[in-house]
Amino acid sequence: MEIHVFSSNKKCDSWFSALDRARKYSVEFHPQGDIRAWTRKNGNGSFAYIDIQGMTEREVRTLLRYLSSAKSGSGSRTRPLLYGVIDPGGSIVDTAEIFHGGAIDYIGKAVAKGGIAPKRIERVARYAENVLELRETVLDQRTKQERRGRPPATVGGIALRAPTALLDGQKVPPPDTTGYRYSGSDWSSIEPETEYTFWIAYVNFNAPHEMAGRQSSQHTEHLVSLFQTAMMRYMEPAGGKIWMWRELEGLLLFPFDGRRNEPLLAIYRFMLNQNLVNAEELDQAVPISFHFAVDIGNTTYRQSGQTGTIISDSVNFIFHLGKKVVPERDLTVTGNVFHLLPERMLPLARAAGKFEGRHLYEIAVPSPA
Amino acid sequence: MRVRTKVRNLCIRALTESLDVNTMVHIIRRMFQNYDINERTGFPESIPIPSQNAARQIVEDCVGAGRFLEFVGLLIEVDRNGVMGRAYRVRGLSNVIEEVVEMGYLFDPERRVFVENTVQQRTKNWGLLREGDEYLFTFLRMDIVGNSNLVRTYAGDAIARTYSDLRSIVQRVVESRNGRIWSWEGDGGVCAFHGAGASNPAMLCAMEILHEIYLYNLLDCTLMEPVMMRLAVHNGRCEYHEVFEDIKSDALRKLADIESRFTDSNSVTISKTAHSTLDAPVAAYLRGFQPDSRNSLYRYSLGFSR
Repeated sequence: MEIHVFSSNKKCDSWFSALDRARKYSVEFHPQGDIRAWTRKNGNGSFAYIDIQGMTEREVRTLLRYLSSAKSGSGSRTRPLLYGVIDPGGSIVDTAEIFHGGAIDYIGKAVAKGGIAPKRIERVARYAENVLELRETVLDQRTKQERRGRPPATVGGIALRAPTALLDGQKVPPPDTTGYRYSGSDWSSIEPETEYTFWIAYVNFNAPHEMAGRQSSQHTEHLVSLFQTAMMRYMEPAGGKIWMWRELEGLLLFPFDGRRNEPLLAIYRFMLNQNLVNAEELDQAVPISFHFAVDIGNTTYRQSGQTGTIISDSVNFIFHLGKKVVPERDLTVTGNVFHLLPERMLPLARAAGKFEGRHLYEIAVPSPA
Repeated sequence: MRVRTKVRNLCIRALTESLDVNTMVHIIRRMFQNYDINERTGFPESIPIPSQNAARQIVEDCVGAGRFLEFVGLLIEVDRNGVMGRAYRVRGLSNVIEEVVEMGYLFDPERRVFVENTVQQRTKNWGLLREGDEYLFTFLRMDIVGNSNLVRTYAGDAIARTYSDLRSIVQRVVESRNGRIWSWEGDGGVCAFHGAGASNPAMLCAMEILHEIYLYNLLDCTLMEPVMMRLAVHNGRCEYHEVFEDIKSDALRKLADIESRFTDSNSVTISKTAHSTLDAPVAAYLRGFQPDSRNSLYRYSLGFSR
């Protein structure tokens, strides 16, 4: 176990010397002021001890407030920072207060003088595990309660019009990944005539009724070309390619490595920015809307333009879904995609029934109010 | 702005080989109304001024006044549209333009001016505006809602990280539409867009910033609550000064008023004057409202339809 000690006190080394001798622990000393920089890059499972000697009362208060909201780890694996306070001067009057703020140990004058024994750290580690477990249980219960009874009133700062009961992610059937043949995180290892699992997105460019019959085919072609250019500015950074295109609809393909959800986020951003695309890139006074159906499925890969004879259940399914089921302006995903939604997007998902045996979910996208 | 001798000489040669002295004077008077070529060159009126002397004097005067790029823009205009109905071909103009491009500027055919090539450089005045001169701007002002409360609630590092993320969003969006951040004070700032058609990019930026903040709250925000912004757009004439605090402008005062008094959280408010210059596809997404008898404003916000 790694223990990081932040202190400018030379005596501090001797307090931790017993731990250093025990092979179970590695003790690293840092200058007192480095704690903030360290918390940003430290991993899970490290302990930090912070010596508050020499700090003013105000500095101590600010530091404790910071520590109580600091996290360790990165991405979705963050958890509260595990830290103890070294107070050889006995400047903290109410020691319980630091535990209320989330500390897991307090080393006062007497303990420091006697040195920190490995047994103490074992005790502290057990205590920390219990506290974290308790906290996670409480949070989990609170989240479940919220999901059952009180869905959030806002998502991303925008009020939900009519909050619906949240989907319980646990109850959404997990995708059957047994047939998956991951295509990777980019196109580098994808070979033609080979079957892979891809993100497959159907897009339909909904020409407004006002336009029908009034515009020349040349104008429509020009508009489609502008639309494709605008769309690919969003999709290309996520690895997207236009794979098939026919008149006003097409299929996009993105490599899939089993984890990445950038394609879904790129599509969501594009849907969100529909009005900007219309105003800025299509220059349409009568807005053109578009809708997407998104799935993760298998298909043999061939270059765009050579796809005429491809026989794929996933390709057929997504075409049918996009053409027959998804309403204008909507984003609908399958159960294979649902599990890759970021947690804060879950309140945006609503069950939309089944189609050809697969569960569907509509993802709400805010639009100009 | 430093103008290299090579480009000055190319410009002098282009003038000498393409225009007579009278036409040169006619053109330069579009920039300096009372320009007197005899007085500037020292030639008495009774003696004809050699073309090269006139051209050199005109070019040096433009450089001296910091308006060389404007003059090259004028030559492009003459080359395309002629002067008083007569066509002129300015020989060697392409060489002059090449040199100007090498200096880090691009010609914006819509506005007919040279603007900075933002790949090479990005300055507050687009490399174009002169200290103390008055121009038409569209301003975009933004403010993080509940700043004091956020600062009290969260650790300083978490707040600093969040505000820095928001500034990056604003900078990316604004600079992608040739706007500039003129002032930033931690929890908000003022951006400027230059020219007559600038209300469109300013409003589009405001809309995109609102969208990006929504996505930031969904995907990246590390605070326990969403961050929100108020954004306002207004246009007007104002003197340009390098130091933002030196700019005294009614337009900026009104902008601050619109933002603080009439703008809801997570929304953009645009003044009537700025709204009247918007293209129809942009204006289509705004809703008018009248907060009091003196103000008529328009609002943009996002909502869920279900």
